[in-house]
Amino acid sequence: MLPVIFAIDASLGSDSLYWWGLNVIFPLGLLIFVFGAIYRISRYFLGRRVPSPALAGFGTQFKEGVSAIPTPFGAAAKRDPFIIVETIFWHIFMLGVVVIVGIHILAWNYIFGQIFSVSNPLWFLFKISTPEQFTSAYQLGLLGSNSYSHGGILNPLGAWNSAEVSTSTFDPWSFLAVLVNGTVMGLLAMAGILGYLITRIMDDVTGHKRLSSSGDYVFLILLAAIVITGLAAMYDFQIPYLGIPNQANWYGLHIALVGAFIGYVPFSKGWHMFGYYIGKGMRGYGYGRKRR
Amino acid sequence: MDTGGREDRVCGGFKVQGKNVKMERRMVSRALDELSPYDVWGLQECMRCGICRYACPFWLDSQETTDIPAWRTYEVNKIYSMYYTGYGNVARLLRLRRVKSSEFLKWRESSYNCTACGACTDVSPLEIPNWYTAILLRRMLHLAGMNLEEVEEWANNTKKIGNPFGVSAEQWEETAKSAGITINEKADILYVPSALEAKDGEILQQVANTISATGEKFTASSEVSDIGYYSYLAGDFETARQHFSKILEVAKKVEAKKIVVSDGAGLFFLRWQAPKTLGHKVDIPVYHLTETIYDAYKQGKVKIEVADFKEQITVHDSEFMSKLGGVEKPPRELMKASIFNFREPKFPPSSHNLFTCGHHLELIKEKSETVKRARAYSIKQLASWGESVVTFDPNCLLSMRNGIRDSQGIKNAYYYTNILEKGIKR
Ligand code: SF4
Repeated sequence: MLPVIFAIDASLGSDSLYWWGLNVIFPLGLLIFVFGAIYRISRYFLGRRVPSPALAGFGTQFKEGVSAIPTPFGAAAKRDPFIIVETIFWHIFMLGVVVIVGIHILAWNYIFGQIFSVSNPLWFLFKISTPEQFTSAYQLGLLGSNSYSHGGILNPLGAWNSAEVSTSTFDPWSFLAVLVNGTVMGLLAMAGILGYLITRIMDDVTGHKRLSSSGDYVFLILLAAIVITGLAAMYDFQIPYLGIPNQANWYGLHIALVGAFIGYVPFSKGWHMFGYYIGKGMRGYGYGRKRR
Repeated sequence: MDTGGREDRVCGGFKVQGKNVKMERRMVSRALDELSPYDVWGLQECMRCGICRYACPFWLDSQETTDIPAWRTYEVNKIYSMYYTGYGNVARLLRLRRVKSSEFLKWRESSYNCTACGACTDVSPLEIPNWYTAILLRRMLHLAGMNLEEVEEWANNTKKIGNPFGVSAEQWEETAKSAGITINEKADILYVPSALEAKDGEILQQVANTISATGEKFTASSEVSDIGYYSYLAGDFETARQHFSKILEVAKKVEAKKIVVSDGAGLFFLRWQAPKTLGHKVDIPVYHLTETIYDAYKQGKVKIEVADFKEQITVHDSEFMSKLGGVEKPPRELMKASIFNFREPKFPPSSHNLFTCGHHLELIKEKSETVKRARAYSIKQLASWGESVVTFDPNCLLSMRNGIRDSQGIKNAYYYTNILEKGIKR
């Protein structure tokens, strides 16, 4: 974590990493993402040597993209149950954290609202979001008085604050909130990511499935760091000797890592979150996917 | 060929130098000269989760990393990225990315521990074309002069006399004529046999009788006794392209309205892979014999009656025709109609759950032990559905017959033309 602070030349003062994360690294990550995505998509066409006529429409392929999701799960269920559990934990709970936890929704709502100049573009997600974790953590004093009372730490752009989270979001989850909250989902997602890391290390060390590149590890470690810093930000872990003495810097680091992640996506395996569907669409180019 | 040495060696653009392999851009460019956007996508998107391996009998048998289908894609992607991507080029120049000679020397084994059946593609979450990257590795071995000798012979024979197994035009013409196939006449259908079929008078006769039942006029050509895919599978795309082009020229010459093949792999290569590798559309439609007969059957032009086969017969679907080629219904429906004791497999024709047979690898002597073990998966599966098996590709027929020779669990193996010829009525 220290190298991040040095890299951006921030002081170790209370708010600086947060400011850098939100105002510099995150937007830079978005910018790199846009160029990276253009580069990655164009590579399919620049690197190709023969054009192939499309045989099945994108709609058909998209449908197939959805219906084919269970196939690999079925194939690996008996022989490799770990990879299935890891994948489900990671994808479902991470997605849950990103689209259900109130503070994330308000953050995305603000960011997309600014980018596309629309107010409340994510209004529909407010209705399923869980505010309780954030506010109750505050009520329990876990967030520390500093963050809330100053407002500025959590609200430098006027985007959100604790009160806003609790009043702008809804919690329809009732007793399910025991599971559907940022902490539990974050921990389950973390279990998935650690599972990925451990199985990959085991496979590489034993030679059973030696297929990893260094990028694969960078990617997984980055994801793990995002979850850890998110939890640390929420609970205000106190590890002063790391140079991150307070909650604001945890948030800063969290946001900076998310920015780095977003920028890294087009250059990494993370691209499969888009590439999956693009690929199913392109599948019709060269092969006999029109069944008869 | 001894590939185990670490001495410096220059082979057509490759140089095994100590722990690493040096390669020339020219060679890489030639090896990857028919990538489509989907292929580039496939190379780049593989997450290397390894799920593909569960569909592959070669990996199930050996459990080796180098037999994981994604391993081959990883190797090809390394080379692709080193020459065609920004950071790959930088990584190559900084020597951060390279092909290790220890890996390179495993290509020869690995790329022929694959029949290119496509099951691993079907099961992959991202449908990565691992079957194709196995062929690309063979292509690089071919260009490097390090390919299997027997396989190189297929390509050389095709280049010299138009047939991978050395069958001359005269021999072929004689076999065809004695099977009742007209040669070099003008006709609506150009029939193109594959090299294994062209050697087998019995199959040719069954094909001739089956097409005749539809009342359509057909001809074969003295110049064409093969479809060309053996060269393709040997990595010699240039020879395959020449051969595909020759077939299309001949079709024009005899004024054919369609090309009919009776080999499952032949259908895939001529219908799908030929336009891709030639880089242009093929104007004349290509059909598998089962498609033609099924259409005639549906239109009421022919009837299919139950043929005189009493045993329980199941089908071994053609990997290339169904899994990769997309033709699912006609072959099974025709067999259902003509086999008294038909046993439908548990899975649909293009399912990754259906194991590949030994296919064209059955023709490579040095692979016989590996192929025997991999074939056992398919035969065990088929034997659980029926005592005998019908196939739609002569390579599959050969594989099943080898399985019977090795007492792997089935009683009889039939070619579908044998059954169809007896069941079809005008
Ligand atoms: S194409 Fe078939 S034989 Fe080849 S690796 Fe994939 S599953 Fe195995």
